[in-house]
Amino acid sequence: MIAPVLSPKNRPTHIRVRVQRQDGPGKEPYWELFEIAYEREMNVISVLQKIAAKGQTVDGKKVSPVAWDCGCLEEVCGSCTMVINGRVRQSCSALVDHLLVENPDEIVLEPMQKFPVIRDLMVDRQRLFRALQRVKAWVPVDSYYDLGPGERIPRSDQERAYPLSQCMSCGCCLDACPQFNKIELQRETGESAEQFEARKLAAFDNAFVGAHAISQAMLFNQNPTGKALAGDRLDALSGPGGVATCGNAQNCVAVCPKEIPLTTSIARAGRATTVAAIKKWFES
Amino acid sequence: MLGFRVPHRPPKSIPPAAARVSKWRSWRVFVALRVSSEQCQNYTVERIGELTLFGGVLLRFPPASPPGHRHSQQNDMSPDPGTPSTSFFIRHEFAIRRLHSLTGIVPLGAYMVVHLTTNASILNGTETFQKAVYMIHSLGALLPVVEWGFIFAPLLFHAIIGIWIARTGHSNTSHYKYASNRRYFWQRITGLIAFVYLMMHVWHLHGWVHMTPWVELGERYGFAQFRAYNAASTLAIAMNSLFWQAFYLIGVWACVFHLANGLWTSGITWGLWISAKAQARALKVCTAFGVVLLVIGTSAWWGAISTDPAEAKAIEDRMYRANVEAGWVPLSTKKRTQPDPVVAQPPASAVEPTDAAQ
Repeated sequence: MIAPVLSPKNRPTHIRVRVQRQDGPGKEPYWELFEIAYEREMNVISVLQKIAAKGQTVDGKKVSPVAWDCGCLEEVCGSCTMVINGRVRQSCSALVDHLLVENPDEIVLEPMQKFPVIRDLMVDRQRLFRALQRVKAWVPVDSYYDLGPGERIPRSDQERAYPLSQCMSCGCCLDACPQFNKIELQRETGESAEQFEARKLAAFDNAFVGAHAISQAMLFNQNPTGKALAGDRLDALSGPGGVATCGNAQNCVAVCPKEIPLTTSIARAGRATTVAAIKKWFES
Repeated sequence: MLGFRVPHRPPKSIPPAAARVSKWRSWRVFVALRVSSEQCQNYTVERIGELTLFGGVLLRFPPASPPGHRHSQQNDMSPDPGTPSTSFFIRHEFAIRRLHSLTGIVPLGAYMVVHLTTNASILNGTETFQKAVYMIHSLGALLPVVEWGFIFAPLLFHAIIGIWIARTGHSNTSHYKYASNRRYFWQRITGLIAFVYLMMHVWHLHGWVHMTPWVELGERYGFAQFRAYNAASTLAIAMNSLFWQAFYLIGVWACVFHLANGLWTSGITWGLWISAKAQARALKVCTAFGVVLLVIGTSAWWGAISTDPAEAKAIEDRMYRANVEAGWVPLSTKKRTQPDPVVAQPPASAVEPTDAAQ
């Protein structure tokens, strides 16, 4: 992505950044406004670094630096995902010059809306990864023995699988989904860590699994080795919070930074679960 | 995540006796939990300052507040998934949602097409419409069975489950202004409008249940107005108020949108159209279907309000007399506007009123 060159006339000297902050899980969120000097070709990560270096709000109040998560800085790890100007995306690939075209007044940063906040812009995406476990999004090979070469995969199947394999588990599809609601549980007094974890996972497992997991299930169901678990995956998708919970708002495919055909995967999962249900009805 | 062993699937365990016994009770508890909404501590749903689809019937507009206060936290109404009281619905979520999708098309969608088309036939004249109604009512004693089995029961199921589905979602059209996201929102809004509309519509014209005291009670307040053997005239009289005219127009339009869009989403749900291109093509077809049905529905509405009741009644009386004379219909009081001029001077061959089918 190449940032548009703002003409010197439109280039601001300073940018205002409004950040939604939260001191810890379950704490009341609040907003702070920062101002930093404009430089060309910044991204939101570098904006946050400048805010941390400055250490004060626009009113001159000294504040702790904003906490955020990042990893690869090239839009393949998904960890820096946040809501920027009201739209969920990666902060590494959100270029300031683009954002200023969208909204010249200020840049608004919020944590992802559907995951519990750990601090400021950092969220806990455990449910996202739990959903991948629910649909067994892996290829079951576990052996010390050489099993020989795998099955040949036709070109057309490769081309169908490749876009799905680009998923980086960032959670954009979930954050924009009206059927995916935030689950934030608090540990109760007298509850052990194990009990709390079990309660949390039970809550996750009955709620909507999400577009990413449906798509991964379809990816591994078409893999010659991954197929071994196809039945289990379809069982998960036709269980509580499975593919039937989808409301077809199709925001997932619109916000996916990797442009993964998520709604195609959802329709494919719809067909596969339909066929599986009919088979089950008549065969077993 | 490579390297996981293929797990053995455990044998299907027999549910404990308590769980089996509490099947029906659990349903009730589940509904109660859903309704009692915000007491449930477990789920925290963050609401953005925007139109929120919550509670299905309730459309909340969170009060506008500055960005600093936008993060209002409310609790979702989802019950604790670990309790056995929720297990019935949760275990059968897939089947219930698929049945909901199916009932929307067959019988409800199919019935709606037939119904609107029949009603639009009034534009061709009172005779055409009255003839169609005679045909429907030739089912006789079977009519209530068909009504309840193929229309009312699926309608109530679709409506109640639909409200539950609307409650599970939280619309975010102000942040994500995509056409499909707006359709998602309007699918739920039109569903709610259609629910209110259809409950009232059946009560207004049909009366829901044809028990004499019940119908008489409805009549007194301007409901249960339709008489099958005075089809056009009673319809025209019932529609002779600005309130009902507006109510029906909005109701019919909401139903048409809901069906056309529902047809498109059901194609994805059942896996009929898969690729983005196929979905786009299907959307065009469903839009065309919706437009055609909109024209038919609006014609039916216009036909009902543009019919002159007095003229229509004269034609209906003539048709009724001929039908009675031919022995195709029995003399009836319940399906006729009273006082009935045909009863005053019945044709010689008239069959005594039985009203068995009423």
